[in-house]
Amino acid sequence: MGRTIPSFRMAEVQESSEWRAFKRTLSHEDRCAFDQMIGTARLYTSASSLAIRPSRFEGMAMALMFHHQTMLARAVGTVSGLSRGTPE
Amino acid sequence: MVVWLKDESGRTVRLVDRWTPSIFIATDNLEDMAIPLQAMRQEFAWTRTTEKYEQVTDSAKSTVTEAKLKDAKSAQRVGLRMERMGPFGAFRLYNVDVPPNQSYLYEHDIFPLARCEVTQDGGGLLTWKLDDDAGEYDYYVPTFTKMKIDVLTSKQGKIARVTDSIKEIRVDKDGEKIAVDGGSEVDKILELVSIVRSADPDFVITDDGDTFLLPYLVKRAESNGVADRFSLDREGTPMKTPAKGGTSYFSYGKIYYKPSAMKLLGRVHVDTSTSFAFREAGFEGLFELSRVCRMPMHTSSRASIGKALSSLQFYHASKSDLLVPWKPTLWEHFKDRNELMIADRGGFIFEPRIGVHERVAELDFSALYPNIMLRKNISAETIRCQCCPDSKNRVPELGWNVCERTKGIVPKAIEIIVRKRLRYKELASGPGTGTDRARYDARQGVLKWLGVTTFGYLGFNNAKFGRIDAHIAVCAWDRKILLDAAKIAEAKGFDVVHGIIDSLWLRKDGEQKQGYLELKSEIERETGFVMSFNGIFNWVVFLPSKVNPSAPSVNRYFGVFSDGVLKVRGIEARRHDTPLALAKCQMDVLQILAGADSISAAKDKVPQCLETFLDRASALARHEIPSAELAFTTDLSKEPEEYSAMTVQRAAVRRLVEEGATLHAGEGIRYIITDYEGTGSRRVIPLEMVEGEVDYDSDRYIALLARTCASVLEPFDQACTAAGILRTFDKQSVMSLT
Repeated sequence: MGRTIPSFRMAEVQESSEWRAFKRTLSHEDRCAFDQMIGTARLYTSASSLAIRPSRFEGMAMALMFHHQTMLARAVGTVSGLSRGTPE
Repeated sequence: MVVWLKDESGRTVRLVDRWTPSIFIATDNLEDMAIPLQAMRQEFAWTRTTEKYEQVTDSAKSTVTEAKLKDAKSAQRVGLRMERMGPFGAFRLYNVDVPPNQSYLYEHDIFPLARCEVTQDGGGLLTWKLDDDAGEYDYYVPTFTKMKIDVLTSKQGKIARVTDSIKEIRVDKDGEKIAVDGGSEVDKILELVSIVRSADPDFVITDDGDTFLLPYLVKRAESNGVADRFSLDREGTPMKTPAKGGTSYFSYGKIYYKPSAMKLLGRVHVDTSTSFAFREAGFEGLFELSRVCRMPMHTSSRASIGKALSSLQFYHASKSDLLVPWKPTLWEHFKDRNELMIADRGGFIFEPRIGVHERVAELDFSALYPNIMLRKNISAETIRCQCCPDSKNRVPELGWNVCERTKGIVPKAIEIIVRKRLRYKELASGPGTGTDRARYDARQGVLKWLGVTTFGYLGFNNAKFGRIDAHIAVCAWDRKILLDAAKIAEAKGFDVVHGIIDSLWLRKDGEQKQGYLELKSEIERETGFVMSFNGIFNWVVFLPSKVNPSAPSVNRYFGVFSDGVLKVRGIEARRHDTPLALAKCQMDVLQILAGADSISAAKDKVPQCLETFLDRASALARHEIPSAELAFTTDLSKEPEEYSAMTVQRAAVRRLVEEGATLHAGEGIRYIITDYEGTGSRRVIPLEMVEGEVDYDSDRYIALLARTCASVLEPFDQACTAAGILRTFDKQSVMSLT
């Protein structure tokens, strides 16, 4: 039986393809960065699916923000560690 | 109804029961039945009113008309005529498309291979006394004689056609091999008839017997004017090709082709190419399926697992006085947008952490979906039932009530599957002989598929007792159970590396088997569902998506347990379309890696793996690999004329059609690549057209071999991409030239 609501995995693919025009205007380098960003959202597909939001973009945006936050926290931690270890 | 029996001395007995099936007709006003019943009186032996449950959701029986047919084969024709005798929906028809031979088994409460006593009265009616139980684990199976038949044709073209004459008929009668190759074609046909008649086998086994072998023999008999003497059954009926052609159908995103059955009256014809049960579990699987699902072996040997499951449900419906709707009208409960978004989701998946992991343990819930249906009473009629609005049994996240008063038809049907499979699994790993263990394992294997299908049928729109709400409820329970299990594990300091539907991959520094077993017990206690501990991996690799390498793929992984056993899922070696030579090479590489008990030890084995690749690539370059090992297998996703781009699949299809083959969507084809960079249909050669060895495109196969090896080596050595591996071969080739 076909599904009424696509799975979040399928919805993410649909959402990404709808941003094709945006991607087309980017430079080659930026297009790679764009694909990488979309790929990052897929790391949290199950969490986005469980969140049940009417807009699929919300789930993806939250996944990206969360990923950036964790990366940022990690980067800050690393930098702090480095600066503590650096002699004044 | 003709019934074939084996008596206690092993003699085959044919009995005829003066029995025909009934159909049932319901109307809002019983008086409306008078005119149609009068108009169709020639079709019925008798009619009467009776009390039955019309719908699976009904709490009380209704008065319906039972019409006993004069001709067992007329049910659908009569049903159609009856339906047209009033406005739409005026006559609701039941049990119209239940096969008569299955109805006979349900009505008499017997099943194939059952041990029973039968008596016949003066009027020709049989009375059955059952001395067996479909739920038995160790049941008696009569000694059957089996015969395998194969035919070689004198091919005029590249592929066999019905116009080709018979070259040789090969018969294998319980190990005794007979070759029929002398005399004229008529002599060969009649010799086969004579051999079959004198050996009198219970089972006739063929490869492709429904699609080609038996229709071909019928055509050859017709061409030679001996069609009336060509009979392979026990009744001496001349064999004919079925009037109805095969059908293509769609299931789980794939097209399948089902040819018409070539049945032999009094014997069971098993076509190994169309028999799911036989292919999965041999005769033991076929016997178990026929007994549990109460389907004649001719039917069960060809039936999809879904059809077998339907039969089991029809039996339980028959026992509960519930009618089987001809055209099911059980609709989905209304949901608003928010509820639909919560409901319409599958089981839960924790995205795997891409890469290689050490000392990860695998635990999974045993037969989780069947157990959810059984324990939570999930069935079309029990979800949001009218009788238990305050039920304590509620669907997670959605809060829907589930019936507490009546056991649903799905749990009733699945009980025997869950119970027997569990016991067979115990027996298969118990102290019995190797033969016993193999028998129990085959039986549990076929029951496993029945359990899987039960879940799918809850949401299948053509299922007689399905309703999407029940399907949704099972998924909701799955999400809750898996998430609860993961929470328990995390609270105990375990890390969830991956989780999918009913399995969890967990890791904790320094943890041993005992720690995982304690965790398993706690999860079982908290969730109420039984888990299995499958072992601890020395190392396991979760692969990225092929399309998006930064995203994980949920079902492509491989690893080696601490006892050295490999577990491989979703990669080339497991795919049925991968050429054997490529799959073998990948498995050989994995076997080398399996000798490593840590990631660093596996990394050390990469050079040895590359040697294996170089060895096979060199053999490919020298054309030393047999062509048969290089065949790709694919099922046609559409009809031959619907292909547009000249892909290798289309090239193979075109060549087969040019040679006169008739292909349908869903049929399998096999081909070898001969010129991948070419443009026309000569890019490939179908396996049917191969004579001797083929001049295959070795460059293409070496490139594919490199890609196959890269799938399993790149996680251990980033230089081992497909291109990187291919460069090692190019270098070696240059060195051998210089």
